[in-house]
Amino acid sequence: MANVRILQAGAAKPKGVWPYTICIVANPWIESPQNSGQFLADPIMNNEPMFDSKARYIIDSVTGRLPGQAEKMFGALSADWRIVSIFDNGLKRKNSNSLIAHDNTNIVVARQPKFPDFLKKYKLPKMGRLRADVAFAVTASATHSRCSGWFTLDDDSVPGRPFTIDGKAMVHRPQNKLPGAVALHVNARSLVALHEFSHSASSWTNGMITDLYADAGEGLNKRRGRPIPGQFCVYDNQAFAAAPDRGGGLAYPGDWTSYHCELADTAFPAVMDDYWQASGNKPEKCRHDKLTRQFLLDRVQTIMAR
Amino acid sequence: MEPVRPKDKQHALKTGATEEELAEYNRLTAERFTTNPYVAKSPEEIRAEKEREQRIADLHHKLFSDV
Repeated sequence: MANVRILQAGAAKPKGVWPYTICIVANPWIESPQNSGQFLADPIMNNEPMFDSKARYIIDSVTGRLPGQAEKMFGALSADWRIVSIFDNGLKRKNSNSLIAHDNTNIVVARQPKFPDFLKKYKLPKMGRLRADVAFAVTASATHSRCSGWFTLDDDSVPGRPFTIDGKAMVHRPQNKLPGAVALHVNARSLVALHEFSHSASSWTNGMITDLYADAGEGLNKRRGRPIPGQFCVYDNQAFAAAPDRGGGLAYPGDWTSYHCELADTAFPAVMDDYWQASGNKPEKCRHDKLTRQFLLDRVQTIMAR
Repeated sequence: MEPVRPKDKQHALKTGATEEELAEYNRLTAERFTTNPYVAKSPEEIRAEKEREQRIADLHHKLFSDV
């Protein structure tokens, strides 16, 4: 039976226009291994209370309400978001009902192209068919527990809010072709949900917010070169300084060529860095670097204003 | 992608993994998640991606198979 809950209705909009929307879905089936066409029952479907508890955790982490959490940038904005959860244990074993795959390690991977049609199956009273800007699929996989997220695939045919980064033109787009998609394991805690949300709320084509704990993968929040310059970038005519270190006593390893934007709090690494290394075992104290923070706020607010 | 958890990292290092191997594992998985799957790829890119995935699997087996 489908249990679709509107946890928060979000801002009032004209008919057919949705506020910024987050969907949290209990994943019915796991494709294992990835791209095999074979599907395992996801154990989360046997435990609705655990799913509900994880949905609450996701909301708290993203909106800055975890105990002791320092990064509260979405706190006030989130009052206008629509948040919907789905627990549907009546779905058949088939490709379209699988939102997560097991990769070749221990990472759970969102099957991003499956999300729009999956969500569309659910029609909400006075709201219409479900859609999302960012969607979380929650799994209780017995073998894979490391979480991951994919950037949003924007609809680049829709006008939006133009911006520049170091002279390159991009656009904050208010519509997507595929929502940002997170695969989140029930073991996730602390900043895991905010970190993955921050990937998925960014864009394949208009600015990727990438992991800062690896010296690879290009993104808006990462630059390359040595020596590290004073300036990180110019975003929308505003200059941002580079970070001389990774915060909280973490140095850039000697063989790295990448560097990051200045931190909001230099006592801790950034949310997109290795927050597990935060001093005092307090990852909740980590905040976003200043560019990531401004970029995500601008992007989310553009979508909220559609 | 969630950073490798401290207990997994410590266990890997205790059982013979090197910091360099962990860094390579992080690099390759980070590349995977920033490679746009929705754009067409050349045969060379497809081959490089397959090699990367094989290396990720091999490293994971070496570093974390008994975690």
